[in-house]
Amino acid sequence: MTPLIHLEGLTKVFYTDEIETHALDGVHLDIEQGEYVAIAGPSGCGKSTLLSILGLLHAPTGGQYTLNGTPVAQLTTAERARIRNKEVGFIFQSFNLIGDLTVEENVELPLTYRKMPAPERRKRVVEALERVSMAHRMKHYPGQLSGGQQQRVAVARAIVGSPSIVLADEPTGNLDSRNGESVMTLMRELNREGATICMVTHDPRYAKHADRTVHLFDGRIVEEERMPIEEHELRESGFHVQ
Amino acid sequence: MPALRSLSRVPLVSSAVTLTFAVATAILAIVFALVWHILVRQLPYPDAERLVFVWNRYGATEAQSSQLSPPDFNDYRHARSFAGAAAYTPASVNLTEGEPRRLSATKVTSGFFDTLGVSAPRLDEHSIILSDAAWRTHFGARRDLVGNTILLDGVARRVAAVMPASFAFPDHSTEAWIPLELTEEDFADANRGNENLLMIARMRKGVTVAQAQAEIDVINRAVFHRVPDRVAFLTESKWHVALFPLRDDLVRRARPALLLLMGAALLVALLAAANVTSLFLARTVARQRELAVRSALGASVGHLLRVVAFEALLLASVGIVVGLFVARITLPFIVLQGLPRAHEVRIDAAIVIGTAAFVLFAATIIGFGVAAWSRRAASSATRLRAILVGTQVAIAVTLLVSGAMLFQTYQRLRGVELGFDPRNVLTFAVELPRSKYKMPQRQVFFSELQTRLKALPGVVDASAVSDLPFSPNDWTATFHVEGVDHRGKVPSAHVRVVLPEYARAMRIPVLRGRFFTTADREGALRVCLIDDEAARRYWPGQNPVGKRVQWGETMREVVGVVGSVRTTSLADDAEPHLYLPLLQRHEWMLYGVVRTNGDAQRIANDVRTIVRSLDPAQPVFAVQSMDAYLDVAIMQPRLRAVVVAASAIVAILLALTGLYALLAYVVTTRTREVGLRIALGATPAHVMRFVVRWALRITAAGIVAGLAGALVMTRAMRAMLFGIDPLDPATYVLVALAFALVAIVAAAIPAARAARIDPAVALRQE
Repeated sequence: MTPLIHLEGLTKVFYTDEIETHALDGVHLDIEQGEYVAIAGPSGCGKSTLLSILGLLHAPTGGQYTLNGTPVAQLTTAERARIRNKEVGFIFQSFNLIGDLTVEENVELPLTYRKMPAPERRKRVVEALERVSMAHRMKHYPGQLSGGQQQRVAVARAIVGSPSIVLADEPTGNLDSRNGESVMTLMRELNREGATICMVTHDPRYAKHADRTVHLFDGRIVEEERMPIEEHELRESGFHVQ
Repeated sequence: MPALRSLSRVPLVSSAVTLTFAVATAILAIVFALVWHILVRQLPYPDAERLVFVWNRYGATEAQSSQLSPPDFNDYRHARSFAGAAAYTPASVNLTEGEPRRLSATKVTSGFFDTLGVSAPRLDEHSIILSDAAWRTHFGARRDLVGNTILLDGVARRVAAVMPASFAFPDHSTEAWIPLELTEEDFADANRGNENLLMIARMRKGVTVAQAQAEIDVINRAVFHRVPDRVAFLTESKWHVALFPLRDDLVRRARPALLLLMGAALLVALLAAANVTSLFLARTVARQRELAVRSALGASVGHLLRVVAFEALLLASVGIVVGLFVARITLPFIVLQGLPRAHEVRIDAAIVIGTAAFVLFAATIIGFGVAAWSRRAASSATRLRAILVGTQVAIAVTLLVSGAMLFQTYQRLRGVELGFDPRNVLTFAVELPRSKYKMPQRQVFFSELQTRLKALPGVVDASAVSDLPFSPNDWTATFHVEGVDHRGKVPSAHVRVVLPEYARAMRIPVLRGRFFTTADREGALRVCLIDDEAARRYWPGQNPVGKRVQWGETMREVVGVVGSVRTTSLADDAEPHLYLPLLQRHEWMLYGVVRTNGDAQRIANDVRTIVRSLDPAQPVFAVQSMDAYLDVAIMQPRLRAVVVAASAIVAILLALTGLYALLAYVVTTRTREVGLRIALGATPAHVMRFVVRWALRITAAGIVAGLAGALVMTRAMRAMLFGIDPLDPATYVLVALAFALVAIVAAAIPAARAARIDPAVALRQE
């Protein structure tokens, strides 16, 4: 079966004032449809750069990137934007909700770039918010919500467009442990319902929620770790796993 | 100085603020100078507030003011309310020493200088008083001139005095004052229709204009009883006499334009203040961290306010110095032609102090206001800036609509059907001295002049007229149509004395009958011509040719009807005209009219040469094209259009700069949001649309407010408009669309910058 994401020999070099920084150095990675992958590693190892390339925010300097069977490494800015809008959902560490927009408008935002009719957008927004149990706060502004609630809204925004993959960058970084766990559980549930998730984290506790953890170091994948199935099941059943 | 170092770190903002202060200062200084020296400052005579003009008035409007007749003057000069009174009338004399030149003079009755409160020797029929300018221009500032004689119209006159340079009455163009002798014969009631005197009076101390007016009204009631044959006419024409303070009357015509200018300047100043506020707000928000550090180190709120306000005052001070310098060097180049008291306008200490105080006060308000506001959230500052930009757009739109209407007024006035063709026509004036030219010599002179002018290469036609259309002089008189009882509605017309071929030279069509010929001379049948408007009014449904009119004591036969012409105002309908042949009239001053087949100015020297060949001592003056008279006639509308259009341009530039600065600021402060939108799938086009739409929202609000402002402003200046409705929808729509388009252009650069934001970098910013 063709993987949803296929990276082959991916490199990314940043050039600043005659200094070359090799952020990624020959990354090979496949992510299957419905898989939940965590990318872990120390600060500066290239996690965020990899995520930005996976999310088509940056183009790679070299190598191949195939998303859903389409080569996407060398697209124009506008083409990348269109594919990103359709295929990728983002969850950020600091939620990144727009303060001037209501919860409903924030979630609707990606759909507004698709020329989707308003009734269809509305239907999808309601479904997404119901999915994260935030439909009752639809008319509120982000400033009126707690951190955990804001991240739930951000998750709704990530899934509202039914993307091929959800990319999460340290989604629990700004949350306390209780809210962090809650968001992790939500993501696990989304994954169980069929969503493909790729999450960057430096916290091993959260990485263990994933099916597979990819360890990056100095821009290279140095280790891949698969979580035993029993462990997921235990977690989903509410057991604490050491 | 820390403030200077701080400002030098943001050179773009500092320069923009200083430049805005400088522009506002320069505009305000010039406008303050105009308004102060023309409208506000009292005339340079002792107790000038006691001086009044006395006008005959027919109807209710100032436009219907008329001069006084000698008996009118005689009635009013002895009023107890007046400490002194004098009459004067424009005149000219020919300086026949050396190169013949014409002096623009004013004939004045005795007591003229006393009434004004100016010291001058008494004039007699053999003396003349010169202006400082005439003394310098025509006599090389000769020290020995006073007391000596000069030749005027071939007669020696003693120069009694040279007035100081500061004295200019009735206006700066007056070069000499000569005596006006009025006799008992002049004061006879029979001369009441001969309204050719201007009257000034000095009210006694403590007497108000209303009190003096009341006394004049009492005198007038007695006049009614003395002239029963004029009662019907005076009643019908709503005749009364009106007193106006001298200064107000002198500047009456310029007042609307100057007040409009003042309004436009204040709007531009308001706009500049909004711009500075916006720029300062952005700068102050950007230095929140520094202010927080100062606060942490113990700075009080007052200290922090002063830090910000001091910077505003510092930049304002530099802007004021630059602006005043620019105003001072620009003022002489600003066309003040036609404005009363124009020679008094200057950037003096009062203007410097007043303008500087005004701008510094505004800067202080802005500085402290910005400092206080910036303590709120950044989003609050953005909202305030958006309101400020909206206000700027509103002001600019108001000025743009008003300017567009005034410009269209100017265009339509230019396109008014004049009734004659002013193109390729050179005009000049010749005034023959009466002492030298009796009737036969005068006729020979003008006939020979016409013959020689027509013989010039390139000349198509040549003739002459007593008063050119739109020249400063006008002659209006009443007449009677034979066999018609006018019942108080006595026909009146502009009277023009002309040489044969005048209609052909001016391209005025002869509609019926014929024009004058050389056969229409002394001893022949007394004839006249009328124009179409006179025919329509006074011979409705008839052919006036062959009908007779009574002109003074003489009956004249109408021999032709010519097309109507506009002669005094482009905006008013054509008025009746009555033409008389020169050869049957006593006229010594005529305007030559020479139509050429190309540029008329090129024959100006030939005209002078021909006049000199006829009489070497005869000066030629007022040599200019017919178009030049029209330019003067249209000067006020043009000045208004230029003033408001220039203000609108400055306003648009300031508003667009403000919009651009705001968008640049917003894109910077909302980089994270823009990055997020890109991450969520916004294409560069989406992002640009987002920024441009935001700009258009502010602009649209400003445009709506501006159009509402324009509705008010254009209604207020309805009297200045011609041929265009103050509610003209096309102007409003075009201005709104044009402004929206320009706003999109102004938003394009920040929008393009927003579209290039790297979302990954933007989203990493905390």
